[in-house]
Amino acid sequence: MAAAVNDVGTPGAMTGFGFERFGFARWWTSAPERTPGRDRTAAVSKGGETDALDAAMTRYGAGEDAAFAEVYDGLAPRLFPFLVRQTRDRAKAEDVLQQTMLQIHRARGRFEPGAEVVPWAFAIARRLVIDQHRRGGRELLAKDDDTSAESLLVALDASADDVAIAKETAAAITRELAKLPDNQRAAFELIKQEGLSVAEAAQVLGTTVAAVKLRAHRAYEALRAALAEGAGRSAR
Amino acid sequence: MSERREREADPEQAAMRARILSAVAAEAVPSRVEHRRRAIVIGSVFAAVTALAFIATGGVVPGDRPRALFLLVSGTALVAAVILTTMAQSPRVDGRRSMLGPPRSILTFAAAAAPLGLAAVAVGCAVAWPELARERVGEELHAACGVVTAFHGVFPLGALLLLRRGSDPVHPQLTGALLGTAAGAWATTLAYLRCPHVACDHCLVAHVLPIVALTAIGAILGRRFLRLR
Repeated sequence: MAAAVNDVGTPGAMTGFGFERFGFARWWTSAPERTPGRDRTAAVSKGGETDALDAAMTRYGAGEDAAFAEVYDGLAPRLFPFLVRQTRDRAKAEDVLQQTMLQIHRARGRFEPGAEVVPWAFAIARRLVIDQHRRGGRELLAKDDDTSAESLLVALDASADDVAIAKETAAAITRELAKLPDNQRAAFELIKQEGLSVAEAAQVLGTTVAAVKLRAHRAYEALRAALAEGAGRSAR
Repeated sequence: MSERREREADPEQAAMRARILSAVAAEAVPSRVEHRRRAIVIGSVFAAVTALAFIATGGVVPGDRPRALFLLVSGTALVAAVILTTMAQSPRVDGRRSMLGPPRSILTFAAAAAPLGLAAVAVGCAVAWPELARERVGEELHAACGVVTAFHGVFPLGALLLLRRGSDPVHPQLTGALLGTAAGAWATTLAYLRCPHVACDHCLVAHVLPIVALTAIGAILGRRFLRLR
């Protein structure tokens, strides 16, 4: 969260709307292939972290109990914000995180050395959120009064006007995201918000890389069109 | 390191970490070696039961079939069974081992291609050996042989489902269907080994059609048993 708030001014893919002024850069450009310079270094470092995480899970599967703390430390900082965004409730996100980690623990013996942990963990977390949603917690994914997205996106050093515009835009993005078909929204969120690669997102969603690229692109285009329309109306 | 410091500075996150790690420590789970041992035991028991059922229903009966035909049909079904079982039990994505398995489109293709491929082999054999393929086989025999084929597929399906129970967070139904197809391919292998009839309609109805039935049963059971618990 702190990183998102302080990450102001990085050139983003959604340039042209002035989003970068309001600290949207990280939110929009988290996919490794879109991020030159500093973010490319971050992507390399993320790759190293991912390898270390896969190795830790392999050791845990082999019987090294202490390696689970490493698995937790590698996964929790990525899963928890995802779960907070999905459930819109910190307590529920904690609960789902605990269930996800327990599922990973229970699959310890089945873990294939060399397999990727991150997409697997995201797929488990996503499934648990969907199951929780289906069991009756429908309000989880559809709270209208939620302001977490806005609070994540507003820069600390922005002026009051900028903050107001940023909040309005964030609310518009949330609204437009909610209107997208599930498969497009999921692809978009996994790539743009959670920073998964296209291949990882494809595994999480159980589809092909080409299908995920297409879904994310359609979502991106739909959002861009909706936001451009909104910006045009405000200008008039 | 900085993440660790951040976490230590945030008492809520530290408490959550401690709670989750203690919940995990409280639940004993087998390691990879123990899991493999268990898988070998399950696989062996189910293989033994299938072998017993196969022997009880007649065992290997080449009949009057030419050796090439016998080897071609049973060999093709065996290759399909091995490929499908490997695909279901040790999935790979882009050449790398995966805990999630191949995409939906590949699972669907595999589950559909196996029975279609084996049906094509049966038709091909009828073209290659037309005099044998014209053999008249009664409907009762079609039904009886088909039931035995499906019965032989139940044991491999049980083993495959048991080995992957509660493990699929993405598409348990399709994975179950693939397991059903794999079990069906094993059953077809046994059917070609034990059934001397080579009539094309008999092969399609009694040896290949049960794969479709087992695929459907696999999909239904997969939805229930393979999803996360």
